[in-house]
Amino acid sequence: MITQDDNRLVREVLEGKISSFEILIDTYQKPVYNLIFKMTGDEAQAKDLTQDVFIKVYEKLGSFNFKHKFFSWIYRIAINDAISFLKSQRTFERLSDINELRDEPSTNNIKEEQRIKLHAALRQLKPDFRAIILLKYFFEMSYGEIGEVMKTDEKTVKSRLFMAREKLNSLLIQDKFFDYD
Amino acid sequence: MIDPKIIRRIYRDIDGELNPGEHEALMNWLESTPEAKKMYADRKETSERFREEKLLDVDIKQQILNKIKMENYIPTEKLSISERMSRIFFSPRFKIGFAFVLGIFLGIFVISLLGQVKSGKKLKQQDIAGTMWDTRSYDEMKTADNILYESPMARATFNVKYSSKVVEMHIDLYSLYPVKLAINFDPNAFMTFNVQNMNITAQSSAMSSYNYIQINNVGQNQFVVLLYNKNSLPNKVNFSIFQNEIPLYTNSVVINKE
Repeated sequence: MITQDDNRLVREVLEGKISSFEILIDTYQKPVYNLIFKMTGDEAQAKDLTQDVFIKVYEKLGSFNFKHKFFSWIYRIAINDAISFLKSQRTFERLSDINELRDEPSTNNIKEEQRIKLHAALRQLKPDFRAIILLKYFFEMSYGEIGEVMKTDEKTVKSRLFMAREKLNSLLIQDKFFDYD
Repeated sequence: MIDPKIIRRIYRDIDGELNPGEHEALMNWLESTPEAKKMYADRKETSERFREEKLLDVDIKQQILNKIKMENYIPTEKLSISERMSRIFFSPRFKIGFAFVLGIFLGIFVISLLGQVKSGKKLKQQDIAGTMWDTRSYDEMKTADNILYESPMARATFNVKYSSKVVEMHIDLYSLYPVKLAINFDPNAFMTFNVQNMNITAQSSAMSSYNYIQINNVGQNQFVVLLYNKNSLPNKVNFSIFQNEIPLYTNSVVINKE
């Protein structure tokens, strides 16, 4: 996990050193974009939402609590924005985006086909399940770190993560994800 | 059916949370349970596929910076409560709001003042004659009656005048011994404003109720009695003089004759 001197950079931005905010953008634009993209499945929207996340972060930097970690704060904002977007798009989401993925030219590469199925299954999960799966698998966060991002305790994280994983697993079985062996 | 506890343990292993001993025990158990072994393999595969995912490159730094317009934007600072309050009080929004509310109150105040002035202009001279507004106007009031009573026991004069709002009675009373003057009236027509003894003696007194005024007199006294003329309709005010509860004199005056 990215844990460089984010809080120091935040202090510098608050003191007027704008170049420090550029460092924060450099550090987090990629993971934030990927998190949102994997949650929404919409590349253009993910770029827009990522920009919005950084603008929001910049505007609310004064209210940042230095007791917490910057990464958990920015990821939380990103997840909330992505969930809001998904809620607004709820009626169109599954049919359009998932079919789009499935319509991609089929490949003999099993891993590529599995990847497509994995993302299709991921995007059939509830948004908060999607987020917790991504934080665990994709960003390899600990339960404690996920708890910080999602503002909840480790026990709840474990419980939700278990449910999310099992739901994902059942979707993958349905989609014959494991039938390549 | 695999026990959910085993599934949780499988996930813990995939997440690298089991110690070597626990891991080995799990592996041994899985070897003996093909169904669980497949379950483990599936979940492990899912995890690995996710971990194989690469972060997509993106560079939207310039777009973000353009949107932020850093040269003229200052991020919000963390302020103390007092600083927040002072900012609120000195903010243009608060000032405008305060001015607006103040303007409304001033407007109401001015309108009420104007209303008073306006209604004051409507009052006719005869309405206020005889009242505190114009104490010199007794002579301009309409005369209801001038009564004189004289006997060995007592002497009294009643000069009664009225305007449309006020009845004013100047009463001179003289008696060697205590006498009682009773003035009564219809409370729907009149109401006592004031009873005043102009020459105070130790043994004279006056009292009033809603339809009755009593004056106890010894010696020579002058009284001014003011009644509120409620409806300007003809009505009587009755006078009676008693000595030891024996009536000496009774008369009445009609007010609002015209």
